Amino acid sequence: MHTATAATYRATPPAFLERLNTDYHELALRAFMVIVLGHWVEHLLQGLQIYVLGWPVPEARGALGLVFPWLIKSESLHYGYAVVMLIGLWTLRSGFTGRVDRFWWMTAFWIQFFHHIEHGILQTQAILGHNLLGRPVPTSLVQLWVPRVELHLFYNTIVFIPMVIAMYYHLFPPADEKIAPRCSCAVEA
Amino acid sequence: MAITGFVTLLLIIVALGWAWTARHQPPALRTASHVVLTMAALAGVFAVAKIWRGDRPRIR
Repeated sequence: MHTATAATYRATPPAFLERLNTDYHELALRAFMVIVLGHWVEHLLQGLQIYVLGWPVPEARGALGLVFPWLIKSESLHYGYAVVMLIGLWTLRSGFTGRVDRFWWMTAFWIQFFHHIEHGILQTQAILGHNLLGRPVPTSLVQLWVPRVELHLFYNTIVFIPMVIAMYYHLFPPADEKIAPRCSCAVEA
Repeated sequence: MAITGFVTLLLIIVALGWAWTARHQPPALRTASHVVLTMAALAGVFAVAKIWRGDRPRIR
């Protein structure tokens, strides 16, 4: 019975999330960064279109929006990305075993949580067909004071910066870090 | 390092944004935009400083 149980344990593969935060953490982080950087390209292009090329704000839709204008106008895409970010930050968190890298990663998660709430408010208005305080377009809480383009440039920055710091300390852990990493991300000397 | 390149790009966009909002937005919105753009720039500079100068980790 004892042998059978041990064999059962041996045969059971680690759970998906466990593998994602150990064997596949490096790969998952790379994939996640591709998504994040792709999103950044869109925002930086939008900034370029408005600030340099002088396009009207509603026409400045990044690269994807030039090909699929309806996609960028849809709040669902923005909300979907916010959810993907939130899921990515949450599911990959336990791979950050150090004190410093985990702190910065979770900082990014909580900021993204608020950012996601803002997008949730926009998405709700799009679904209901009623905008906040009778505004002509869906409007998030902070957007009552700050224009959308600049606000989301800010939001994306303050989520990305702690992510980058977390990944830096994940790749190059401080020498006094007590807990050994469980993944292959750290760069060996 | 890649983050330095990214932050440089961010600072350029922020500077362009600052100038554009100063010319195209009404005063209240302009001030709000300048506040968030400045905070974004500061966050970028903080990241570069954190990685290059302060609390530098030693590779195991």
